[in-house]
This record gives sequence, structure tokens and C-alpha cells, in this order.
Amino acid sequence: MSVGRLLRVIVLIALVCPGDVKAQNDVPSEESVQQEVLKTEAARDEAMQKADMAVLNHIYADNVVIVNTRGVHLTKAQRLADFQSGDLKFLSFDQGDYSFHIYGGTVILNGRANSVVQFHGKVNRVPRKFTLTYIKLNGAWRLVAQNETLIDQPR
Amino acid sequence: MGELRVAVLIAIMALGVICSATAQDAVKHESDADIQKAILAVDNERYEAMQKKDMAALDRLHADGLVFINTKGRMLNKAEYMEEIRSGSLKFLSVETDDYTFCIYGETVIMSGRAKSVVEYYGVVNKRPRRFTSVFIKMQGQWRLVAHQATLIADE
Repeated sequence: MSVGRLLRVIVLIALVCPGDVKAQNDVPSEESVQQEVLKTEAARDEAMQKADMAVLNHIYADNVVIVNTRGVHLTKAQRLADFQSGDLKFLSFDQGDYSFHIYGGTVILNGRANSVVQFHGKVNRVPRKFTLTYIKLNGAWRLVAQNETLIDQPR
Repeated sequence: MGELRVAVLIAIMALGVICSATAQDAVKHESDADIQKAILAVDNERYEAMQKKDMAALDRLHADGLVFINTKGRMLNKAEYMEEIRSGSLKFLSVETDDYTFCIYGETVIMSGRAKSVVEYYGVVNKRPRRFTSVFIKMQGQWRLVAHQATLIADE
């Protein structure tokens, strides 16, 4: 087969699979992914403080898995109901110490929260470590898993 | 001769594109049930490797970027986590997990569940049940744990 003929075959393959070629060219940098996820996280934080259900509904994936600091597994409906009813309130908000691990369209975001939270009338000031898993679904970063654990304080 | 080299190179590149598309199709055809089975098998293998201190298996089953947060809220990377197992600081005296939930997003799987395993951590035995979230990602054909966090269950 001549080079010219082979090139024609390649062009044909590229036309048949344009998505693959485009997807590879469009891979965003780790920095831009971090910025996008942090922006989503900032929107979530604000929505939690204001109990903005529309924003929370958009950010939490329908099948989000949440494990709170009491080791209770919550669904999206249960978590949103906690915010809506006021059973879960942020009295102050402080989180940081972030680390990111990016695997294509999946991001693992770890950090530390020092926020003061009121849950069913009980105030919790103990700092906690968390793992948030964000996945890009239909072009938007959605929270698919959240697990929080109290940091054991030295006695 | 030069033309032949170019032709071979182009043919290899074309094959790469075709293989990439084929691999993506293969992923789509794997059912959720098959994926759940594969994840449970990997997780069982992981626990077995922890009990036997099989460091080669642990190295294969955990991603290099592993983040592990234990029930004390301590965050460990892969090297730190494996060292705890290798040194015997972390020992599984028994393994018992149940109440699984799986959420599958292509090649990323969220597995949540309850563990009642008896664990010895730096000489202190912990029998308290805990909830955990594990995130597995398929990398080069192998499911690997990329993140794990466990939280004690307050009401049990």
C-alpha cells in the first residue's frame, strides 16, 4: 500500500472517530480542573449556609453517597431535607488544607473542616477530615460521594 | 525504505485509534452486576493481602495517589498506609463487611458499606463498627483503590 493510500485511510478513520480526537485535544490542565472544582465547592458552601436548595440540588448527584461524622449513611433527599428544615446549620464556615487527585473526569478532594455546625440542635466544633468525590456529568462537576470523620483530639 | 517506515508508523497510529475506540466499547458492555462482582473481588483480595502482609498485591491494588483517612481522622498516603501494614501497626484480627451500596460512573465506582472487622491499631484493639466510602478507578485494566475513608458509627 502506498503512503498516499494509507494517509487517505487515516483521514477516513479520523472522520469516523472525531470525538476521540477532539476529546484528547480538549484535555484540561490539572490547574483548571482544580479551579473548576474549587468554584463548585465554593458555590456548595455558600448554598449550604443559605439553604439554597436549587444550587444544592444541582451540585449533589442524584445517587450521592454521604457518610456524616456520626457514621450515618445519608441519601441526597435526606441531606437536602436536613438543610431545608434547618436541622443542619452552619454557625461558622471554615475549611481548607485541600489536596487534589485528578483521574480524568473524577476528582478526589480531601481537606479539613473547622466549621461550627449545629445538627439537630447539637453544636459540633470538633474539626474533621473529609473526602469529596466529584465527577463531571453532562459538563458539570457533581458531588457523588462525601465522607467526614472527626479528628481524634489529643487528651 | 523511508516511505515504508512512514507507512508502518502511520499504520501503527491508526491501529492505536481503533484499539482506543474498541476498548471504550468494551467498557460500555460490562454490566453493573459484573462491575460490582469485580469490585468485591478486588476488595476481598485487598483484605486478604492486608492480613497476609502481601505487599506486592497491596501495591497493585492501591493507586499511587491513594488517600486513606482512618477512623481517627488521620490522612495517610499510599506509602504511609502500606508501612502501617508492613510494620504491623495496623492489623486486621478479623474481617467483616456488609450493607454495601454501589454507584457506578463508567470506570469510577463508589462503594459504601459497614465494617465490623476487629482491628488492632498501634496496640489498641478497636471492635466498633464503622461506615466507609471507597472509591475505585479502573487503570490499565485493573481496579485500584484511589480513596478510602472510615467513620465510627456513633449509635451502634
